[in-house]
Amino acid sequence: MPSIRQELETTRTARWYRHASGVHRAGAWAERVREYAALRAVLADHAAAMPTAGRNAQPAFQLAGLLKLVAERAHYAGAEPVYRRYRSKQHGQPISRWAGADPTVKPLAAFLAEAKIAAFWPYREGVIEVADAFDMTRTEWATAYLRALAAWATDNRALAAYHPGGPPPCVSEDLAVIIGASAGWAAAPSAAGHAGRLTTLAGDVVRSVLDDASITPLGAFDTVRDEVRSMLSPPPESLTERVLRAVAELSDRMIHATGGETVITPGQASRLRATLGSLATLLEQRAGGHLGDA
Amino acid sequence: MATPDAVLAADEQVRNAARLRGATQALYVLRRRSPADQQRACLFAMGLLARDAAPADWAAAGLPEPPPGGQAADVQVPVRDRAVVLLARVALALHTAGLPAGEQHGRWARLAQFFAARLPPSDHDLFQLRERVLAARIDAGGTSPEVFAELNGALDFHRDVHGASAYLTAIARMRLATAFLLRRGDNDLAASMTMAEEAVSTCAAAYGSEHPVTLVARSLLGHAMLLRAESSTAEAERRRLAGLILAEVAAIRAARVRLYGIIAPNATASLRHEARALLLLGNLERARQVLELALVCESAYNGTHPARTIAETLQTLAEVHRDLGDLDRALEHAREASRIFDLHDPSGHCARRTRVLIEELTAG
Repeated sequence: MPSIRQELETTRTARWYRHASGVHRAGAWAERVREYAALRAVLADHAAAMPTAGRNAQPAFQLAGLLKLVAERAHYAGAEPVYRRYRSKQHGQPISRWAGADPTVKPLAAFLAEAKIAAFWPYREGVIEVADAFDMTRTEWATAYLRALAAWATDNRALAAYHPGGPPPCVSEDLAVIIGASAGWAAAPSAAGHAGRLTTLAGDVVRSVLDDASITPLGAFDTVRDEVRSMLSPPPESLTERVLRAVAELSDRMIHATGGETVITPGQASRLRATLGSLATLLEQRAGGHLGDA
Repeated sequence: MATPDAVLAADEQVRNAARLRGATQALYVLRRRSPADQQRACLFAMGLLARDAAPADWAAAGLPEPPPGGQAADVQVPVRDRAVVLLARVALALHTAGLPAGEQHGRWARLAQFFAARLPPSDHDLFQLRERVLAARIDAGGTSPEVFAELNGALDFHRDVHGASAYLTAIARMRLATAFLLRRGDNDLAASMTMAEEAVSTCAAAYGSEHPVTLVARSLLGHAMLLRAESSTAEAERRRLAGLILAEVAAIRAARVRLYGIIAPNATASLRHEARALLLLGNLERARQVLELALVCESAYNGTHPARTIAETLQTLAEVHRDLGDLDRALEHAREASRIFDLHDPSGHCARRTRVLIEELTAG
C-alpha cells in the first residue's frame, strides 16, 4: 500500500508540477516563474497603496486588467504572451496550463490557479518532508497541512484574497489523499464526502487568516481542529475490548518471549503495574455491583 | 530582461524559505508528541537549518548542534529571513520541552538576543520572540514590575496595531492575567479575573466557546476562581464557587479530550483543577480517583520523563492520602513529588511545601 507521501507525489497537480518545472522545460518554466513574481509585485503594490490604519482584515478584491499589469511588470512588450500561455487552446505550448482545455476557464482564472499552486508548492514540500520522516498519523498530516496552508495565506494575503479568494486548487486532491478517500481507510461511510468537507474547512482556515492579520497558523487551524479531528478519528470500538485485547497480547509476548527479546522494560512494567493497580480499585466496585445484582 | 537561469535562481531562495515555513508548521504538530519524540524533532529542525539556512552559530542561540553529515543547499536562506527565525523558534520549543522553567527562560532569552543582533528593532517576529521570552519568564515565576511593564506594553501594542478583539491581543491579555495570578499581590486576583473574563468574552465572540484559545481563557478564569475559593474563609462561599468551578472544568476537559486526546497535558491540567474543586467540596475519595487518573495520563504522555506537572499531581495526591488517613501512600507520593521538584526548582514554593509535608508525615 503506498504511503501518504507516495500518493501525494502522484496527484494530478504533482504530476503537472513535476512535468512543468522539469529541467527539459527550464526556459518555459522560467517565463511562468517570472509572471508569478510579477503578480506578487503587482499585488504588493496594491496592498501598499491601501490604507492600513485600523484594517486588520483583508477583504476580497480584484484589479482591472490584471494580466496586462503582470505583463508590464514582467517587462513584456505586450500582454499577448501571457494570454497565450493561459488560454484553453494550447497549440505548441511547451507546458500545458494546469487548468486543462476547458474553455470556460478564462486565462486570468487559469493564471491565478497556477500562481497559487506555485506559491503554495514549497510549503507543501516542507510538510511532506517532516510528516513522512516522523510517520505522522492522518490526523497529524491534516493538521500539518492545514497549518502550512495558513502560513501560506499569511505570507500571501493578497493572493489568497484575490477574487474569488481561497486556497490553491491543489488542496482538494491533497486532502482527499490525506483523508484516505482513495484507500477506503476513512472511518465514516463517505470518505469522499469527508474529503469535500475537509476542503471547505481549508477554505475556512484561509478565511480566518484574511479576517485577522494577527492570527497565527495555529489559531487559524484551531478554528477547524474539532471537526478535522472527529473526521479523522478511527472508528469507535469498545474500550474494554481494546484493553482486554492489549492485555492478552502483552501477556502472550511476555510469556512466549524468545531469548534476548525485551518485551517490556522495568520502568514500563512499574508504570503499568501502578496504572493497573488504580484500575483494579475502580473495577472492584463495578465487579462487586455486578455480582450483587446476579 | 533577466535570463531564465537568473529568474530561476532568484526564485530558488523564495522557494527554500517557503519550504522551511511549511516544515516549521509540521514540526509544531510534533509538539504534541512525547518529550523523547520532541528531542528527535528538534534535531531534524537543526538539520533543516544547517541545510537550508545560511551558516550561523546556533549554539550561541541556545540551540543544539545540527546532526553532522548534511549537505548544504545551493541557495541558502539568510538567517534574518522570517522563515529561519520561525524555524529556529520551533526548534527551541521542541528542544526545551520538559526542561526546568528557569532553564527554558534562559534559552529563550539567548534566542531573542541572537536574532536581536540580526533583525531591525521594529521587526514583528522579533517582537513576538520577545513576548515568548516574557512568557517563559512568567512560567519561571517572574513577576517583577519590569515584567508587568513589558506585558502591558505588549497588550497596548497589539490593541493599537490589530484591534481590541484580535487574536494576538487576546493572547497578550491572557499573559497579563496569568502574571497577575502568579504574583497574588493585593487586588491581583481580582485583576486577573477581570482580564480573564474579558479574554473569554472576546475569544468566545470571535471564535466560539470551544475554540482552543477560548478554552485557555476559560481555564485561566477557572484557575483564578479556584484560588479565590481556596482563599475564602466563608464555607458557603467556598462550596458555591467550587460547584461552579467543577462544572466549568469538566466542560473544558471534555472539549480538550475531544480536541487533543485524553493524555494531552492541557486535558490533564483540567483534571488537576477538577480534583482541587472536589477537595473544596470535601469529596476526598472522588478527588483521589481524579488525581490517580491524572497520574495515568501524565505517565502515558511523559513516559519516564519526570515532568514538573507530575510532581504537582503527586503533591496534591499525597495531601489527599494524608487526609484519608493512608499515611504510607501519602509519604510515598510526597517523596516522589519532592524528588521531581528538586530536579526542576529545589528552592521553589512547591518544593518547600512538599518538604514540609514530608516532615509532617515522618514526625508522627
